[in-house]
Amino acid sequence: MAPIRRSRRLEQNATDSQEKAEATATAASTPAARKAASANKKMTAASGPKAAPAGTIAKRPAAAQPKTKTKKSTPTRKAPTAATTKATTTSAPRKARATTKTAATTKAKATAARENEAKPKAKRVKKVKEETTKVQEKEAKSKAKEVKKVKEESTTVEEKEAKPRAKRAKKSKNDTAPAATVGEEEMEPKLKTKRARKAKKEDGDTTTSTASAGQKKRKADPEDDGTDGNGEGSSQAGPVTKKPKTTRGKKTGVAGAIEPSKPIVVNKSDPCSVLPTELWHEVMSYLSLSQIVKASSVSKSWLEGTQALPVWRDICTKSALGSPKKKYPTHMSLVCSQSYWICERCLTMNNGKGSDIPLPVEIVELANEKMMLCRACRCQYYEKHPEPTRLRKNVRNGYGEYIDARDVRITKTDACTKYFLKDEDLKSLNAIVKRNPRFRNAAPMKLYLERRVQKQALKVHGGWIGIQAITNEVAKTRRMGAKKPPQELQTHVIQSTGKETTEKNKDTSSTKGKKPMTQAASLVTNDENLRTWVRILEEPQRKALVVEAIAEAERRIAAGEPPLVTNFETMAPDHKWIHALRLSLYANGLMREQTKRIVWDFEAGVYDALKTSVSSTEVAVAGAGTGAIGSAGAGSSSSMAALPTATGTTVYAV
Amino acid sequence: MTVILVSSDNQDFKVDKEVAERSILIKNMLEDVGESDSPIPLPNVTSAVLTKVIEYCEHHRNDPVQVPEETDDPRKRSNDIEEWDMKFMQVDQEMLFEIILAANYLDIKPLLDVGCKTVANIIKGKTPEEIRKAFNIVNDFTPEEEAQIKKENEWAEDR
Repeated sequence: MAPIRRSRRLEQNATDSQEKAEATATAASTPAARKAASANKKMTAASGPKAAPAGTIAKRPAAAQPKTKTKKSTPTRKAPTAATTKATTTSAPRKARATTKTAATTKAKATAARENEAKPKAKRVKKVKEETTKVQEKEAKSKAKEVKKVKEESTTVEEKEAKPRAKRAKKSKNDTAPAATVGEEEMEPKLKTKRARKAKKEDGDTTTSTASAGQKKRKADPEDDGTDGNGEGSSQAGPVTKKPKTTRGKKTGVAGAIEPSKPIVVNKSDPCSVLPTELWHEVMSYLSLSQIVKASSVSKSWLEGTQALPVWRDICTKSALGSPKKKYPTHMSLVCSQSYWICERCLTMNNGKGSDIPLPVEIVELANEKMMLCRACRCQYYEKHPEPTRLRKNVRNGYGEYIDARDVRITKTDACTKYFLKDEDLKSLNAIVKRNPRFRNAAPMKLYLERRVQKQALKVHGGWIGIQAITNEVAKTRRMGAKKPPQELQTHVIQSTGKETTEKNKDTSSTKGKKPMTQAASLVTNDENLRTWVRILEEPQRKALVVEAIAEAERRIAAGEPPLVTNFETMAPDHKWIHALRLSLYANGLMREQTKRIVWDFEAGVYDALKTSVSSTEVAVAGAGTGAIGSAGAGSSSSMAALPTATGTTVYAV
Repeated sequence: MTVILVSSDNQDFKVDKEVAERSILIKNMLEDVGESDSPIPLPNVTSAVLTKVIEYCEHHRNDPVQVPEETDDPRKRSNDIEEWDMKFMQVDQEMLFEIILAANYLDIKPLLDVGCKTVANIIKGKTPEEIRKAFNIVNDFTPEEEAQIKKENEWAEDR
């Protein structure tokens, strides 16, 4: 029993005295050991990034051995071996670990035994026990921490490196097993570099001692119960906990670089993905804004590429469009929202009146490509490329004689109304003053040569397109266009009234409060309105009101009276459905007056919904003889025959 | 005086110094190194591309140095390519992009401009679908996304 006890004690004290022994060892052989250590370090450092990873790096520590031997420094001799053993122990069988363990401890025993001889046994036993309990607790804590850390780290890294790690694990398994037996020369270059680096680190950390073997043993064997360690030993558990970090670093640093990353498929014929950003921007700088916008819908990468162009930001700053927000999340979308008001040449916004707005101009230099130019830019352009005047042909004078068109003169009033010029614009033109032929007592007329007036007008308004823009009120229509109602409404209004209602369409947005018939009808026929109305009508408490309203409407229609719009409003002003009903009936009344056959699907749908809603309360709705609209499919008792057509629409005879 | 240029695939090209100096990169290198026969490695340019680049430089060896035009128009013109340059640029798209990249690397501004203009001219006047066909690009938008983009870019279609 005694030798066993003693040996245990010795083992326990071995690590305790490791540091002391190490200190003495290093102190004893300071110059030699230091030299050896530095030499070792240099060697390993020299084999860093420059050296080839294969062979040489892994052999360097071994090559350093003879030098250290000559300098009688045993620790230095052991350091690389310990490193290699550590490298192997990560995957080597336990037997190998045990051998290293014993090798390290036996040496420590020898030194510790000498010191312990002087101390009384009882004290030593107590001390040892206390220390071991402390160490156990500390190690348990550190282990728990370590496990936590490792888990956290592994979860973050695992996803990225799951596959390569698995591969590496396989490789290392395959490689390390023979490495333990066959030797380093047959090892994979990757593994060799890893080991060499590990050895280098360890050399750097521990200044070559016998105790380093113990440390490495602990590092190599994290599953060790820790009974053979002391307080200092437990503090050395730090590096053990950091182990996953170091390995991770290696993975990302070395292995990550070596391992083939997932190949990114690049379409070599796609300039957006092949060319770098600067060159892509260079290419795009040759395109007009509208062309760039078109190009943005080619693919996602093109969209990103166009959105990143600096031109959008420039426009935003020049035109004071502000910064992108929720509605327009990018500078490009912000510019696109104001596209009709932005000059593509000076990149400024102009939403003024008349000819000030940007208008499309065919640019000769760009192979007649159209660009939106503001008045100032148009004027500049037309200075270089003047437009011809448009003189009338076959002009006759007051005596019926043909005169040269170039000699035709117009009055100041004509100049102002036809060509939208002001007095200041005409000041620079020569005019002849003549007596007014109609009103003799009136002020004398100023007559200008028409061709000169035209030229002046072209200068002022920036080409014929500028003059036409004022005539056609382009700016106004653009502004209206921004607020225009959906296309569906417009078309329907045209159907219902049978008129060309381009002008009225404009009115619908501007005169919202007045609600003329066309707008009323369009509101009713709006699909969304229809759905909400039908839904509201289906509510039971509304039926009485509906019945009453319809009865009133029918009575008025039969009597030939116009429907009383205000009546319905006063009945239930807060109810949307009454409003919709009023609009519907109002529209119906006018419809009958204007047309005999009307195609109006939406209205029919509304009416059907109305009838079904009312018929459930057993109230006679239709049949006022003259004006009720019904559909045959709905089984109405209407006197009007519904004629389904091939197109699916229903034609109603009124 | 001749200069030896070495492509990425280790092919040597003997070029007149005057021709080689169309590239600002090589010009600066020669100025820094001084007169020496040592070859100039161009690791980013393959022999096929370097042949084309040298051909361009040979043709434009006597051209005056380009001075950037001061114009009011921020948009550049892409239709002012010389006839010879246009023919020179009639290569497959991969080669075209390689030439652009090489011109960028070697700092040959006129060649870079011609290349970019050629690419711009391919894009110009085409609908998105036509551009996709021209560059063999796959439309990776979902139908909803495409509809949304079309709606946003409606104004551009009018022009």
